[in-house]
Amino acid sequence: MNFKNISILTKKDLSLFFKNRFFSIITILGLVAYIIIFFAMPRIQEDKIKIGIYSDVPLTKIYYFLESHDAEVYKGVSIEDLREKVSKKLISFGIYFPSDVKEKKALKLIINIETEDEMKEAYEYIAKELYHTEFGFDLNIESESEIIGVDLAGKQIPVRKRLIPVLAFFLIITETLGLSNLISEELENKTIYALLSTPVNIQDIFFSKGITGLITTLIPSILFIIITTQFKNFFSILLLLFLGSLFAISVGFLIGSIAKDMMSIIGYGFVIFILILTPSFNVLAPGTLSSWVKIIPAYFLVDGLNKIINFNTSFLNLLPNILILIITSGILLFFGAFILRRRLI
Amino acid sequence: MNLKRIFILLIKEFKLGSKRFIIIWSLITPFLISIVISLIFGSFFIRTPRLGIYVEGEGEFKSLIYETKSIITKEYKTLDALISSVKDGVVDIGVIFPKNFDENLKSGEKVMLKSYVFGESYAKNRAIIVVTIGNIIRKISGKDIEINIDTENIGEKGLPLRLRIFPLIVMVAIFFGGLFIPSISLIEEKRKKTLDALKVSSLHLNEITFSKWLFGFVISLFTGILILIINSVFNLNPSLLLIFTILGAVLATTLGIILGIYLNDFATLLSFWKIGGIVLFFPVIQYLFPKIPELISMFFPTYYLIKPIMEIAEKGSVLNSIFYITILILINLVLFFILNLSLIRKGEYL
Repeated sequence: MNFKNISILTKKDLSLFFKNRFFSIITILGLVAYIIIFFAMPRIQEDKIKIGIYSDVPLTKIYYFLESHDAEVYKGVSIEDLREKVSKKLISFGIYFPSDVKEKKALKLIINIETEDEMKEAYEYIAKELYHTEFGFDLNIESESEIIGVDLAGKQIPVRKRLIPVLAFFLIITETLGLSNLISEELENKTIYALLSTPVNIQDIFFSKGITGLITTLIPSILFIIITTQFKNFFSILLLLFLGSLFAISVGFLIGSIAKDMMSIIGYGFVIFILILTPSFNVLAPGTLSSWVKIIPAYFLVDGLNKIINFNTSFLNLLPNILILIITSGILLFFGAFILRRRLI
Repeated sequence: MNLKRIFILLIKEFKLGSKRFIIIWSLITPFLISIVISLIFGSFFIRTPRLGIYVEGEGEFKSLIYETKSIITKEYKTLDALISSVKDGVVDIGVIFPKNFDENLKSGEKVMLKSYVFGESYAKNRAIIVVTIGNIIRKISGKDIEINIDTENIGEKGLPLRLRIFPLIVMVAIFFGGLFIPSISLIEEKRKKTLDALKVSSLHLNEITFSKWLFGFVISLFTGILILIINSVFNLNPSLLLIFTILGAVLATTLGIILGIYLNDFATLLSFWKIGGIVLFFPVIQYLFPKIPELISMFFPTYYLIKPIMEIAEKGSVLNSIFYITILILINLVLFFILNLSLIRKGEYL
């Protein structure tokens, strides 16, 4: 490897990248769009059931019961008031306890028409349970609960904060197809042979493309992180972003080494792109995808970013994520280089 | 324009435009898009509480749990599997049902229930699971009282949650192929200088671009229709849906050709997609987040494509189909005008 050659090749690629004004402007606009999306998202995440109650009889026990189950209670002033709050979706549903509720064992449930069937059934169960609680039909049950992970009930992480690791991840991964084009273009135009006839060798080309890729993927994601997290846990995030960029480069190079032309980059790349993006949805909605998602190495990038940004996880706890990203990137780079060598012989 | 020459060029596009790519794009991608988006966004918007159970002894409670619609239940064969699923958030709560659970309840003995709770699960999901289990326990123990619940449904019926994701699926199907295929094909011809070779032949530039346009149009229309069929929407109003998909495919492909004329490399095209995608896909965002006023979406061209398709998916017909068709035709005419102007101004430099 010759560092002078690598530096010349990197400068060449970068100047070609940024000479295109349209490309530069649109990259900046893209970053701005992500930042706007971030700030447009709500600051809080509501995760409690909001139950509206209006009763003609005095109620005592149900309020304690609802509080102990992290439910929010709205005490309505009339049945009309409950109807209004339900129709405006200010409460999940309303329950009306008439004066003869105990004798007739009958109550009224006010539900928004848009409520899914599953929820309607759940609300009926809640109403029944409240009746039993208030009028004294206790269950002979003892329960013991163990919370696994950080207990976020009632203090959920807002979508806005969950979006930070996802968008940073997205900024890195979208460059994969562009990076594969870096290699594929040289192969397709046969300029790689011209380069190889000079003192430059295959490692120099690979390294210079890698550095170019690193700069183009890392800078937008770092800027995004700085604006959205204000340097909180910055160095741990920076390391993960660096490894994430390395992973994106290795995937891009592998696609670039296999692909014949841009059409095949899009063909193969799009399928791989969807697969790589999949784990990010697990961060937005935890548990959406079962544990199979862990077979996609990109999971360890977005999961690591999520743990640092939203859970302040220590760097040491992220060592498995870091190791998996390094090993996967190494394997993919090895295969990329191997295929490229075979194509050049 | 000579139709025979256009046809020969179109055959060339299909033959040489990477056969494997066309198969992937036309046949695999619609299924992949449909499944992935439905799975991911479906679970994102419809968060039915999920209960994991580990059963030490069989009983009536199991069938009662599975009968309830308010929760999704999954049984685990080992305790470790249950705990691991709770840890991954696959289920909100994992409950161990002890031996002789039913018998103990019926005899009035105290029953101990041990549960594991996923820390990130929503408080409402936890509450729903708890009351659902409580309800089942009451039924088994014989302490269930027949309570009459009079349910009153109020408010205006909106779009079902499951349908909110559909515009995204349709847009991806029509626009990914329609926009990328002709633009990449043109960029590639420019880069390889094969366009110069074609230009010096008897072929006219209009014929070359039209063949590429046709290629993208066929793929875009095919994937669009396939997506509608897969999602059981096409049969609701085939003629109108065909018209709207054709107009959408024309819009996507014409835009793709214009981009192909102006852009010289793939990286710039991808960058355009990052920002241009937001403009094209904005009406989809409005369906995902209905609080965004519809008025804003009306400023985006794809609104007039998505809105009637969604009306058909929801009600089977469109109230004012002529209006949407006219607007889409007008948008396409403007794009054709821009395309024509671009060919005149940039044609000789391509």
